Amino acid sequence: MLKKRLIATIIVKNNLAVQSIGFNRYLPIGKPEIAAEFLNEWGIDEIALIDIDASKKSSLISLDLVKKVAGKIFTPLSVGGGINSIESAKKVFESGADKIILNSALDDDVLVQDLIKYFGKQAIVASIDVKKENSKYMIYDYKSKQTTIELKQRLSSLDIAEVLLNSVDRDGSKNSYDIELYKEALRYTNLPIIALGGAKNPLCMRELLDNVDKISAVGAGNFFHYSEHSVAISKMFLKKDKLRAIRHDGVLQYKDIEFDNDIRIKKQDDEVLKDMIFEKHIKESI
Amino acid sequence: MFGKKIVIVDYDMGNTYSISNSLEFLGYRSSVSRDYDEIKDADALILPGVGSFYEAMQKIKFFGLKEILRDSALVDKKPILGICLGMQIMAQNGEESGVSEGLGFFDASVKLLDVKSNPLPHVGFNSIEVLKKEPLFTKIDSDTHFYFDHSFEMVCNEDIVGSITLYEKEIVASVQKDNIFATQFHPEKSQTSGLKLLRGFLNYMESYNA
Repeated sequence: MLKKRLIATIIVKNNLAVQSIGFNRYLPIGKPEIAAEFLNEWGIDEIALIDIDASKKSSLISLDLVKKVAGKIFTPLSVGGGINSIESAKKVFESGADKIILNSALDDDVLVQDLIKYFGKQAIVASIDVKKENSKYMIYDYKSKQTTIELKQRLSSLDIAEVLLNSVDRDGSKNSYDIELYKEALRYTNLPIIALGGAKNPLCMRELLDNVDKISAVGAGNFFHYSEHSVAISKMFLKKDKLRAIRHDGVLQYKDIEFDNDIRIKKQDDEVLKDMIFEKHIKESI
Repeated sequence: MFGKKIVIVDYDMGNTYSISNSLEFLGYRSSVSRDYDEIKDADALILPGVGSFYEAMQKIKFFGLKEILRDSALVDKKPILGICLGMQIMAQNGEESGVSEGLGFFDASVKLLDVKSNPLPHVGFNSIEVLKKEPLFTKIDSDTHFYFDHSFEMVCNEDIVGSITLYEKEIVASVQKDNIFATQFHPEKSQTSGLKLLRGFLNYMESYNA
């Protein structure tokens, strides 16, 4: 059975991974390649690396950075940031990207068609930022900080691999995913949709998965970066009460753990912890 | 590092970096090349590929690779591994953007995935059922997850199928015949399970001439 993916975003500003809040405040996290390495070890299903300054500065995401990140992971990598031509896309693919993420470039129909023709539509992810205005979901242009067309209009004309649908209102808010947004979007398109914006903890992911049947992937940035083993623990949580379609076969299993109300792991009994000291872990050789 | 020469065939389609990165992790150096002599000299070949069947075959013809690839696989009988589109072009023909002729390593054809209630592409981690354990799945059991990303599928006789997966219906996940292996999924993108599969191929290569 096909599993729902957990996708981590690594948002890059000045070659540094940052936490994004409401598309206007940024806090540093650290080196993107280190973040990627951890996410890979914790069992992430896919990574999206996005340079949010590149387009504004009419430059391309650092290829050196893409290479560094790609070299640390054995999981699919999507890359966005200033891709505006076949040439720039080619460079990004050659640096280790599996898919390219287009945002502002989506306005250029000719370019999108050229990219599809050259690289195939399976290699192109549309990143769409959405803001709710007068109870309508509108496309948000992060450069001009204004809304443009309706979501419906954009989605119904898209024919690419998948859509990374980001709620600007929920970005970094910890207010959980905008369930309505994803339900509505799935009425306009059959493309796989990756939800992004608002994840506070695995409870939000569970809420999304249980309410939006057809969602293809659950995305998060800040949450995955800020807690140890976040990916493995989220996957355990999502599989604990019900058999959800999640891939959780990594080394970090977190079997037999209990969660508190904030979905943090409860401390184990002293006896259990004491026994753990003497457990022998042999590293699996591949 | 000495040892076997592995060539990742470069026909300008797709991500070769992650394959060489995976091989390096497993202790092997590889080269990405479309050079005739280098391919001729190689102990094993990996055929990557992302994109469309038609485009891929056009490129293979354009770079003059068709003969040498056929000779390597069918005459010299080198261990060869096709990945994703690299698997699909090993079929007789494919019907992506019009019917076109493939490399013809397998008596198979490539058709649009016929699913009704699920989106295309079939993208993400899916579990597989292993039908042929050796040599790719030596260290891998059924229900292991691999990363898929495709809209077309290989249709072939059961006897060459090495593993299958379910996406509304049964899909061929890997095929093998003699020295030729191919996976519809991306082992280089499937974390530990994928590395184990590549190890299986490398071990096969190591024992091949010995």
